[in-house]
Parts: sequence; structure tokens; C-alpha cells
Amino acid sequence: MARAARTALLATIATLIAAWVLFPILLISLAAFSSRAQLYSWPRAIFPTPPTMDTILFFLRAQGVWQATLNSLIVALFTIALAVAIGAPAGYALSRFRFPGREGFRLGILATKMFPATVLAIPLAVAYIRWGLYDNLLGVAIVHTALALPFAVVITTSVFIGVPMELEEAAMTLGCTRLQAFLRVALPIALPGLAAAAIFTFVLSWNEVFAAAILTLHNRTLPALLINAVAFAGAPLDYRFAGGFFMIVPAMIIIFIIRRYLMTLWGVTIR
Amino acid sequence: MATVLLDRVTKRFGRVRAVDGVTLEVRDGEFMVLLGPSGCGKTTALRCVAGLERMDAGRIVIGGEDVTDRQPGRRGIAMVFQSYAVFPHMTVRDNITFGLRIRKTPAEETRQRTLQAAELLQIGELLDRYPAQLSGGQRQRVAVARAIVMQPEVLLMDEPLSNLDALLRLQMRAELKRLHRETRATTVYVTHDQVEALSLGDRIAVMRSGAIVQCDTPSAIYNRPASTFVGGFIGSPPMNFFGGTVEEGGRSVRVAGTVLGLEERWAGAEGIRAGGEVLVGVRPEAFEVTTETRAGAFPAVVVVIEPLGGTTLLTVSVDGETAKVTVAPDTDHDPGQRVWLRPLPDRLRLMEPGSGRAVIPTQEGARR
Repeated sequence: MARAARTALLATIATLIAAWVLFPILLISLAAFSSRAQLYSWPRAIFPTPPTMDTILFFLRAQGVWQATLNSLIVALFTIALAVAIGAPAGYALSRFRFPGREGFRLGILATKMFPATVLAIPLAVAYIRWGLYDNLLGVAIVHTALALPFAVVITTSVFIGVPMELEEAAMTLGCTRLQAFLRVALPIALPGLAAAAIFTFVLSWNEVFAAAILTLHNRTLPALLINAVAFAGAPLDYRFAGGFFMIVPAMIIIFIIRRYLMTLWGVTIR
Repeated sequence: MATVLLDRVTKRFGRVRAVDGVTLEVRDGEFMVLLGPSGCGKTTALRCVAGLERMDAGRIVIGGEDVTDRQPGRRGIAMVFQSYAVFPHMTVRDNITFGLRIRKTPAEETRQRTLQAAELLQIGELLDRYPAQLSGGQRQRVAVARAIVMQPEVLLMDEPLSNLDALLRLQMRAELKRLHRETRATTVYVTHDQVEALSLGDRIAVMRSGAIVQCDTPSAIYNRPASTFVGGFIGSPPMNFFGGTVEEGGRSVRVAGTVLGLEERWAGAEGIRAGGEVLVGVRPEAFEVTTETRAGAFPAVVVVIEPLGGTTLLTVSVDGETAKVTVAPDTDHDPGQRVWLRPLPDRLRLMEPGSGRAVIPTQEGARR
């Protein structure tokens, strides 16, 4: 009885949270396939009648959208490269070695997430202008790397914990050096998990709007372009909805594909 | 094939000395078992030989060459891990050939040696499978095949049977023995299972708290334990110990109010003084059990009777102390029954009560 009640309560909470996330996505998606006239009519119909691609096509033809998408991809790829190159070795070290300050290091990594980025905005912009990184895609990627690193380290740590040390030791007794053992045994086994970490980093970078908006002027990433258009340029409704939809879809698909690996972020293993 | 020498090997983990100045020489082609309770340092000692642990002091010499500073792959060893450590992302064939490929062995030779090893372990038809498709016993065979295909001078095994179920373990144990006879590779084998140790080892090194307490043949370890620890750790049930007093200048010992005659060899032995305290160690099967009093037998009361099929195990009370005695299965005993136990004089051991060290009888002493 108590168990049934608990299950029911959990299900209710889960449903509410899911609805809280999914309902706006649903509204945006429906709006993205409605015609411009329908979006501006009152009272507004929820379901597009008839569904149309006009709104999406209007957005895709708008000035700067393709360049911003390309910029977003470039930033995301830079971010992935940096975050994996820095995060994976840290994750490997945390999973394999006991060293003084290990726990402090782990906590320190997560503590960076407690720091509000807003506080950093002005100093960061000033520093970037001085260093010549302002309005530079690599500069945005560096900030995104800083944001993604804690996740990259935590995910890769659990990925490497899942690869028993004995496998590498076995490889070493069979003639491998330490590096060969890692490259031939640990890395191939960890690859799917590392890919998940990379993709998660991609989503993080793809969606990040704050740093991108502050640190770019002409070289806008897609979220920066959108936030500028919506907040300052007064973009029409169909542009907003189509843009939102265009942002959401890749992230949704990717998260759906890698959801199994994201669980390992919380130490849950599903086999 | 090669000898293995652990020369005053010490390995610390923080403040704990996992291996504390261990010296052990393994002969060419010998099957040496490191036996001890968990945490005694046996696995650490093995990992030092493999080169997987950085030692704090001491040397490892394999085949006359000091390999202390060499990588695991350059020591002429191969190792079988407790968890098997079979590579999950490779087929059985790729697992077995892994080491040969690292060493850049010619393809034809690789193929032949792989088939040979697979045949020896009877896994020829599994070569194209992945480890996930194998049972625990089959994975174990792959791990052993992967090790012996290297034709190592020294084969190291870390509790290789402990993850198998009882029946499979019995079967694999016999196979390992056959394998050793066929390959004659010097083998160092770690286990906490005394039956495995007794059945497999040419010699057994019993370890405790990072040190070797006795290293000898299985029968010597069983019949002439060097200390109460060895006597108590080996044998199931373990050796019984009774407190006694030496009398008649070492020609007899008084246990539970009864005078037991001692063989002559004990008389002049170090630690035997008239009136001194000793522990009398007797294996459960080294008693004659009678229901009537007789010379050289002390009284006991039967507490529990456990028929074990081949033998019957009696738990008896001697002067308030519990002892285990095995008797023939057809003997008739009842709980509460009074019996007399006569230790067989030639199977009796004496230990010093304080240190637990065995008293060395004079003739044995002379023989060494």
C-alpha cells in the first residue's frame, strides 16, 4: 500500500516535470508549422490548419541564419576537441590513481558550476577585448570548454572506472607499454562513453547563449543571433518559433541517442 | 623455463607493509603456491614479480637476470588474473594472439601457436566468439590460453579458480595440473584455498601479514606445520591444539590430566624442558578413538556428530576445550558419550605456547 502510494507519487512528480519541459517544446513545434497569418490571428488556434513549411523556410532564408549555424558548429567542434583533450586525461587520472587532493580536485571541478557566469560577463568581455579574442569563434569555444569541462571530467571518470584496470595490466604483461595498453585496450572499450561525453559537450555548446551573445558581435552563433533578434531587433513571431524549433531539434535527437550514457553521469549503470 | 627469486621484497601501501622483506626462491619448472588468508600480501607479492607494483625495496630475479626495473612485458612472464581480464572488445582469437601481435610474431607461427594453445585448453571452436558470449569457465580458459601462448618462462596465476563454481573449480584444478605437466613452465600460483594449494603445489609458501611463515612441500606443510598459524590455517577442520606440561625430562607430556608418552626425538629438542608448557598439536584424523580408557588416551565428551559421507566428524570437549576428531563413518557415537582419544605418537606435534612456533624434534633437525 505504502509502496503503491510512493510509486503513484513518483509517477505524478515525474509526469509534472516532464510536462513542464515538454509542453513548451510542443507549443513551439506546433507554432513552427503554422502559417504566419495563423500565428498573428486571435484567438490563436493551437493546431496548425493546415500544417505548413512556410514558417520554417522563412526562418532558414532569413539573413545570417546559415552563417550563424555554421559558426555554432565550428564553436561546438572546437569545444569538443578542447573539452575531450583536457577532460578525458583528467577523468582517466581520477579513475586510475589515488593521489593527495584527489577528493578536493573532484569537488573543485563541480564547484566551478556554482559560480554564476553573469558575474564574469564584464571582466570576461574586457579581457577578451585586450587579448584580441573578442568576436572570435575560438574565444567562444574556450568559454564553452570551461563550462563543459566539469561534465566532461565527471563523465569520462565514470567511463574509465567502467574499464577495469586489470585489462590494461593484462595487456602490459603481454608486452604492451603503459601507453600501448591504454591505446589498444582501455581506449577502444571507453570509446562509446567518450563519444557520449563529446556529444553532450556538443549540446552544451550548441545551446549556450549567454557567453556567445556577450563575446560576439558579427560572428554570432545561432543562439546569439536568435537572442539578439528576439530581444533587440523585434523579430516577428514566425521567426522566433521557427528559430526555437531549429535550435531544439538537434539537441533533442542527440540527447535521446546518448541518454543511456548520460545516466553514468549520476553513477547509475544500465546494462 | 627459469628460476624466480624474490629477494627481500618489500611493498608498502601507506603505512601498511603488504609485503615485508619476503625472500623466496622458486626452482626451474616448479609449481609454487602462495597461500594465505586475504590481506596477507600474497597477491601483492605476485604483482611484484609481474612488475605491476613498484617495490619499496628488494629485487626480482628471473632466470638469473635482475628484472626489478623492467616493464611487465619484458620479464618473460605471463599472468592469469582473478577476474580473467579477457579483453571484451576482441574475439577469443584476437585475445589469444594479442601478445604475439604486440611482439610482432610472424603470422604463420602466430596461427600455429594459437591453434595449439586453443587445443590445449579445448576452446578451438570458440575462437570467433566474443567474451560476452562465453561462460565463466570458458573465459577462464581463454585467459589461460592467452597466457601460455606466449610460452612464458614463468606463469603467474592470481586466484584463477576463485570465480568458478565448485564443480568447475575441481575440473579446472586438474586441468591446470595437467597443463603444468605438459608445459613445465615455472609457475607461481596465488590462492587462499588450502585444498587447491595442497593439490597443485610442488611447494607451498604460507604467508601471513606480509611474510612467509613456512615454505615446504604440501605433505610437510600438512604434517609438520611450522607454527600454530600454519597448523590452524591448513587442514579442514584445522589442527587441534591442547595445552600440556612436559614431564620426565621430555619423555612424556601431560594433557587433560593424562600422561602421553613422547617419541624419543622430542627429548633433547630445543624448547622442551621438564615442567615447561607446550601446545600439543594433533590433526583430527590422527587420533585413535575408544570408548574405554587405555594408556596414552585422554578423556573427552562427544558434543556434535556430523556424518560427512566418507568420514564422520566429531566435535568433542576436552577439559572444556573444543576439538575436532574424524572417525570412520561406521563407528557408533552419541552426543554426550564419553570417549578416550589417543593421539598417534608419530603424528603428534609440539608447539611453543608463546610464539606458536613448532618445536623441532632432534632427528628432523639433524635431517635438515
